[in-house]
Amino acid sequence: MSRKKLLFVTFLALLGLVTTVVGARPWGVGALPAEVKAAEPLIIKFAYTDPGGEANSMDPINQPSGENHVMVNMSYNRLTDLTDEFEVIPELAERWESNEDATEWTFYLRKGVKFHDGHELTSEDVVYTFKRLLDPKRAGDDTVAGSEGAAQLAFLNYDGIIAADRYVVKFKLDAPAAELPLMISIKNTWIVPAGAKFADLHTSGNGTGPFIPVDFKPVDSPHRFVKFKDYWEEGLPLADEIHLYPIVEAATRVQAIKSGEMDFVQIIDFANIAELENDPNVTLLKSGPSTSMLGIMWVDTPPFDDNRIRQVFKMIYSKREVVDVCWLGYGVIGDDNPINPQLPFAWRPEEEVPIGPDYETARKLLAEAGYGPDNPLKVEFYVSEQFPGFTCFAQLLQQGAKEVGIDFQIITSPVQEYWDNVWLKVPFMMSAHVQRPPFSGLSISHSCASLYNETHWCKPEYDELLLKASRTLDPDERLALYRKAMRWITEEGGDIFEGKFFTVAAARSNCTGYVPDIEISRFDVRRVTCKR
Amino acid sequence: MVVLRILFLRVLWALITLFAVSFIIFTAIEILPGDIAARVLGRYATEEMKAEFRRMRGLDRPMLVRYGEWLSGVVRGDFGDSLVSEFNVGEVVLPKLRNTLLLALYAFILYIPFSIILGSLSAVFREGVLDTVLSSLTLIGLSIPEFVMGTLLAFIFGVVLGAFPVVVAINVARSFGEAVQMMTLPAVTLAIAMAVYAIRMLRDNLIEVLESDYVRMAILKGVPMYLVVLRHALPNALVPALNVTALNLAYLIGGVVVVEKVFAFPGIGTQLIDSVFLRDAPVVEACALIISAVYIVANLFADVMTILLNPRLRTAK
Repeated sequence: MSRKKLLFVTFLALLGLVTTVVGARPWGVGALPAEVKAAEPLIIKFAYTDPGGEANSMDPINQPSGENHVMVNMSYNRLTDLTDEFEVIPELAERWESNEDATEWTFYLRKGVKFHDGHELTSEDVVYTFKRLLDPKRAGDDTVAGSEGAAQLAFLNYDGIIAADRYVVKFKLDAPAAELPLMISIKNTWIVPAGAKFADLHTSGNGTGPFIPVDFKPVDSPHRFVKFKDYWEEGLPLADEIHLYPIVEAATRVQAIKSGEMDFVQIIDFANIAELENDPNVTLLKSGPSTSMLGIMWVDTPPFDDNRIRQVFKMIYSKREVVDVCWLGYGVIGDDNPINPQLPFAWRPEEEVPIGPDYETARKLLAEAGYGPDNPLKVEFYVSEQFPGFTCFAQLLQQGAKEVGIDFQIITSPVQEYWDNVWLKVPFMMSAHVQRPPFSGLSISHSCASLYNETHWCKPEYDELLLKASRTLDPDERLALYRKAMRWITEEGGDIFEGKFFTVAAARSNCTGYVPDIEISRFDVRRVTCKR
Repeated sequence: MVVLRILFLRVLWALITLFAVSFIIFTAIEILPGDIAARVLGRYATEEMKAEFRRMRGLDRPMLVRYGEWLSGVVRGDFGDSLVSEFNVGEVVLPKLRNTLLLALYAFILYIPFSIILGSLSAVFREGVLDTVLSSLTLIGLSIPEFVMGTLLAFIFGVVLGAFPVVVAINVARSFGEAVQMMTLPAVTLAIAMAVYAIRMLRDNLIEVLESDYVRMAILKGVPMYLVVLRHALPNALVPALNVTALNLAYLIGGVVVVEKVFAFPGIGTQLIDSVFLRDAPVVEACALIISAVYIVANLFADVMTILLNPRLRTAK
């Protein structure tokens, strides 16, 4: 073949490839129907982190990623909502009441609420939702593997969930539940239509929420949501469309908000805050104390079965330093128990909790427990940078350990593998939790029956204390019991630090209406809007 | 014809290689710690839920049985469904592949003239100011990782100048022009990353050729310099650069994850990584086979081109 001929053939082949690829046309397919287009829709672009990949689903029954929370929040409602201080406020239920001993709760539904498919919300939908959350198969959904919220809702009686009237739902219980409205406001209790299966909801969803997914795919950039015209809250939502962009790189999120390509960014890394603070076009939005960071020790495994050793690890670092150095000031210190000390119902010691470090006492306790220069304590601490500051905290602990003569090795694990390969499998590691109110915060990883008992804290008297509290109707008496439990964990538990960091979001200056929530599973964009 | 025979043998080998690749990947996913049920269902899933998930997806059966089933599907052109989302693998992978191909094509179109022109200039004016500057620049380019280059370009052209978007929302581009504008920064980043090798390679080869007798003859004959380079020197210097280009092509399809992340680009690299984390075997297989195939085809193409460009290799031994 001559060179000219060869070049010609190659040229033709390349031309063919160009035509094929360009002909595939990804552009233009995202265009919306003409009726929506007509009035120049207000499209809000929202960047978020933590993409869930193919695991994303529009069925709220299981939500493995932050992205999944965001999407479910936009399309569904719950019976009740929570404030930042865990006060229960009405959502689909207008009001509720209980009988005297809190064994029967009645919820009165809002009338005229529509699902995205147009049918009206009735008590049947609510009953089905909760039954499905307790036992999907029994409720008639054989297309889902299970329900991650089942354990948390186990206090409900499957047969006691009753549609008493078209708009009235009753929860009849076997034992009193003084805080039932709070206990059913968890991240999975979004109301789905009666009879809806995973296979129906997975790719399209069907809720009563303010936005409807368009052409949903588990992985997409962006995920597009349009306003639900029949949404029950008058005048809401404000935006016509919300486009969600998965942006994993922190630097890219910063550039995207600075350049104005994004209207909102869900999470700004602490290290990038300074860069945005002086930008007149960007407003930083700060949540209250949100996710917690803690070290955990198995209280039944040497050397941590000795409370003196547990105390040593709680006092060899400075709590203030963790907040200032690891979180650049964007957080609050913790009291070595799950409840945020800033909340009104938290237990507070008579004297202020020492900030640390207290090397002298630590050395003394170590010596008492039989460790010294000839016989140093050796530990391995597992960590992964799940959230900002994790590695930094491990290093502060390591420095303190060195001061008191402990051989402290840090073992770093990949972020994606941490929860299924390390968590609950090693006796000394970093963990994190969303903020929870006392009834669930104190029980989810500290009761004998808990599936997530990360510190192996199992004391029947402690479980009885919590049970008693959950059945105590008098709020003050109940609080006293919860505070006793908090104190117990602080003094003897396997929890180290448990401070909470703030979530910092960013908005363009012409955009308003977004408040980052203390619970990462909450995402409220009903009032999000931008002046164009 | 020797080219056809080589083509036939190579395609045969390619198929065998792809088969081996598919088996290795399937096994690797099986042995990796952590499993798909835990990944999909999240941190709070119970053991019963995970077991039920595995049962529903047929993962409780022996690996060889599942591999055999998958393979028999592939032979019939069916790559199966994602074990995670239950979407057809084609539906999951093809939009990402289309995006990646578009980006790769754009980067490649920038890469070719960029490498040839700069490489030739360097060689012709070797040891001059231009050559020194270009050599230093390519050295710097070689040592800067793509994510730094990408972030830098995004900052200058996206944030400061506002000329190009830093988030490549290709799926909502309204026109071809907008899509091209969106992809410019990642395409330039990729073109630079690839060209720095090719420029240096081309320069060295060209210098060698330019010093050969037949080139000196052409110059003495009075042929203008640009013609000497274009007609006599370049075709002979291109051969080694072709192999670099073949490797670069493979990089464009599979190795661009970092650039994809910087520009939040929905491409096949990100899809592959995400699916590996989720242990989603069918999707991983599809992505990996596509990337392997591109790699094999690109190398084959380079070899055939080498033979055709070099008449000495054309005769059968």
